[in-house]
Amino acid sequence: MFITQIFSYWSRQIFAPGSLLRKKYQYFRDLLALDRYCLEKMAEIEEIHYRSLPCDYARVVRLCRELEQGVGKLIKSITALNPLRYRVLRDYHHKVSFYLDLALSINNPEIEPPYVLGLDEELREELGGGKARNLSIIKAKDFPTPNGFCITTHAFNSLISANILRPKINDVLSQVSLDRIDDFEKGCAQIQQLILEAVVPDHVQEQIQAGLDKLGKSRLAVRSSAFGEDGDLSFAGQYKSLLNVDPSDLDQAYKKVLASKYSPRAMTYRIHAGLPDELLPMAVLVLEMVDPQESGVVYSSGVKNRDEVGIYIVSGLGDKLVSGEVKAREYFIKKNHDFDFSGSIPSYLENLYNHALDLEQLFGKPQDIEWVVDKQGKLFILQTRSLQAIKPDSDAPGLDLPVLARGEWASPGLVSGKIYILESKEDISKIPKGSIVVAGGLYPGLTAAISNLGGVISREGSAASHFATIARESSLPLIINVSHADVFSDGQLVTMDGNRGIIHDGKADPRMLFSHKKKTWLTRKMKKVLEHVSTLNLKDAESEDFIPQNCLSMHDLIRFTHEMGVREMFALADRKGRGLQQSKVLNLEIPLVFRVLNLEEGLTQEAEAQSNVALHDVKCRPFLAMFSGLAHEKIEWDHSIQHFDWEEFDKVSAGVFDPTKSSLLSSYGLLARDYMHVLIRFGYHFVVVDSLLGQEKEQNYIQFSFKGGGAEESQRVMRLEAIRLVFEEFGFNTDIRGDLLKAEYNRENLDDTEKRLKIIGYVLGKTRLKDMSMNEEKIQTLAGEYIEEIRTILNNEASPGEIHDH
Amino acid sequence: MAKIAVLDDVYDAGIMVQRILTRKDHTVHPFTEEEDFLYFIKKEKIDLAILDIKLKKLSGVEVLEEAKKISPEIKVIMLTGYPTIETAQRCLQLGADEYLVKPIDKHELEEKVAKVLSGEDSG
Repeated sequence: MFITQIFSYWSRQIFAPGSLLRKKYQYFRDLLALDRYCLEKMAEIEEIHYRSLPCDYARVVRLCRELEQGVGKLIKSITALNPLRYRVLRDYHHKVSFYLDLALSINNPEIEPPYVLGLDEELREELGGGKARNLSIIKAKDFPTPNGFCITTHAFNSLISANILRPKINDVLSQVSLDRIDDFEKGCAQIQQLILEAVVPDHVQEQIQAGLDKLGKSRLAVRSSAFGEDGDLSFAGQYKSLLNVDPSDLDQAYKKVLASKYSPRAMTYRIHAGLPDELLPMAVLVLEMVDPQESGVVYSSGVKNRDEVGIYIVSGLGDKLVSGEVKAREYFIKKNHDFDFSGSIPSYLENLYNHALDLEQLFGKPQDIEWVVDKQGKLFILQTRSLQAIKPDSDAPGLDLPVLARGEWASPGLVSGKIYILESKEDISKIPKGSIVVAGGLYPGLTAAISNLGGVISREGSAASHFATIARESSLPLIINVSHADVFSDGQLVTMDGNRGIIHDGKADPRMLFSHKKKTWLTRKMKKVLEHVSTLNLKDAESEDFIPQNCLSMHDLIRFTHEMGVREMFALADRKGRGLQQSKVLNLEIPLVFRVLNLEEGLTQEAEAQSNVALHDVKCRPFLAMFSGLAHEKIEWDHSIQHFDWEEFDKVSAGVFDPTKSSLLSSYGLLARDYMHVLIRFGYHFVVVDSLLGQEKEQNYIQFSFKGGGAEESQRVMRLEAIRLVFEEFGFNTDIRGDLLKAEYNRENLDDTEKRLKIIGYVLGKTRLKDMSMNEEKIQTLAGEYIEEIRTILNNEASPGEIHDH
Repeated sequence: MAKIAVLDDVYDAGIMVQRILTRKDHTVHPFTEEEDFLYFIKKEKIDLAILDIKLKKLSGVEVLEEAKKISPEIKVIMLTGYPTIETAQRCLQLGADEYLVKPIDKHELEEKVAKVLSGEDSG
């Protein structure tokens, strides 16, 4: 492949120089298109990090892969332009890609047994998830818990792997964003379907059956126990629990619970927590079902008051309480005070109170405990985990704004925003970003919209609900039990003081409001990833460090390749004008011998058939811009002097042939609609202008060089100095080495770039013979004169494009 | 400065690393044979080993495992021409501190050696 590339390069170079120019031009256009593609990909990746876009890690991985491939193609296009010189870039592309892949990689999930572990066995959290782990601990300490077993995270990994689901899941994950709720919900449904249709591998199935055999015939409660669920993040209520499951339906129930890992709510929560799907494999608890009389939640240290145990009770199953739809009966029992349990209160309350204190002591932290009492009055602990309590910041300054309503704080924080009154649960997806939502209750569906919420005010609800827990984790102010919620109207500007449970009228001083961005797994990962994506190490194209060896990121490779591509085009045709056999003579009103070669839409279609063309046949925008300056009416031309390459003409013996017909001596332009490569020979001067002029600001450039001149060297240098002063004045970067002036003007908009081309033309026209009559004092004055003239021209004419017909 | 051992089956590659790092005032011992290298680190305490993945008899991963047994606190940089992510992850799990992909550049080598010796988190 590579050898053939070299061969075709040489053979074209020797046999068909004209087609080589066109070919090179095509490679160059490919390069420019790929350059733009890669820069856009890179921007997309950076945006995720810097704007904290709510999207899955799988999207970062996909974008990085696309970037790697794009840069690979970009390097292929520069290698096509010059195979030998840029071959080494491929090695550096491989290298940077590898570092990037390594930074992106997540360790392969474990798929080895055990797939099932009894609660009486030791359960590590990596295997059983937090819920099962804690249950096995308290079972060993003889707390009353139901019998059961745990289907491990390895079983989940094994199911994903055996059904080859990971690529499919990540494909969906890489497409969705929480900003677009409809697509997002569709994506969630797609993944859930994949899980529900998956087959539980035989080796997992056998171990589950063995677990069931030990339990006997009782009906089952099947509950999630995700890894990381009860760690720093609670994932409270994000996953499904199925109750009263017949043992023969366990297979389906198991998959339903696994699928709940991909419910919109759970995914929203996970993505906000900045964790990738792969790092949160799900274990599932299978417990003997307890037929409930009453159930509820205990906080071993109250959410509001650490010195009391808070007990919340509902009749029957507890899911109505934790989903926030029912207000519970509440008991707050002061610790270390002799509480009288003999009154008309549930008989199990004392028992519950004591267990709560024991569990707090066992785990060394306040606990959030789910419990149930069966029809016979026997108490069971279903779950215990660390309580994510946050004290309201009562030291925070109060607000000097009128009070609209009061309630109870359930999650602290200050926020200003516009009211959105949520009439029904169906409207949750319509909530405008940043709204302060007024709701009847704390609906679970609100979690999926959490990124759009500024704060929540609810008429009912409990600080013990899942939504309240998540609101506290997400620093989302939440005020519950607001009795006069009818004082609000849609669009009204209010400020919530979540610390005190007060809703104020109007907007608070922004300095009072603070928001903190959490450091997540994703933000840490992104820092490492971006090191190999966007960090720019090759800053100075003029420095000697600007070499492939110093390309350490994709950005470096892109920058290097673009720079070299432009340089390759700049050096396109040599002074001998090779490759111009197919060119046409451009008839001009000024005495300049010019030939043009059409690369792509640089000339009109009619002109294609002619060997002589006129300026009105030219469609090349950068060329017309430059020419509008060169042929400006303020420049005087002596029609007795024909401008062609005198130096070359001297060599090939004067007067033997007509210089106007020789491609060796004339000026020429390679023209496309938005690109030109022009070489101009004014007597002894030799000028190259290479430019791309289009709508894409980032791709526009002008590269200019000016060399030669018949006068003495000191005078040539002075003339260059005058040109340099003018160019500098108009924002070019310039450099003079010996009698070579280089100037460039990069990445500016169409209008500004077009004006600079006109300036180049004008200065060239003005200075074409100036070295004959220059001295040091004149430089400044002359440069000043030119600058003044150019200013006048630019001010008088709306657009340089309009004045080319001369 | 640090005492460094380099193991690469290509003699010149080891010498090149030695030349670059000696200029940074490190003492560098190049090896081409696995046994010689392992014998050396048993005998002498070194700060950093730079191991090529492709060796003569063992793989660099195996040498890494051995080296960590002999001297658990030894810092290791792995070196490779044709890397796979799996091998790289395995090496990082086994306690390699950094990964260096050929072609090796002076700046990159110097930087990663300095980073590993200063005990910064690599990832």
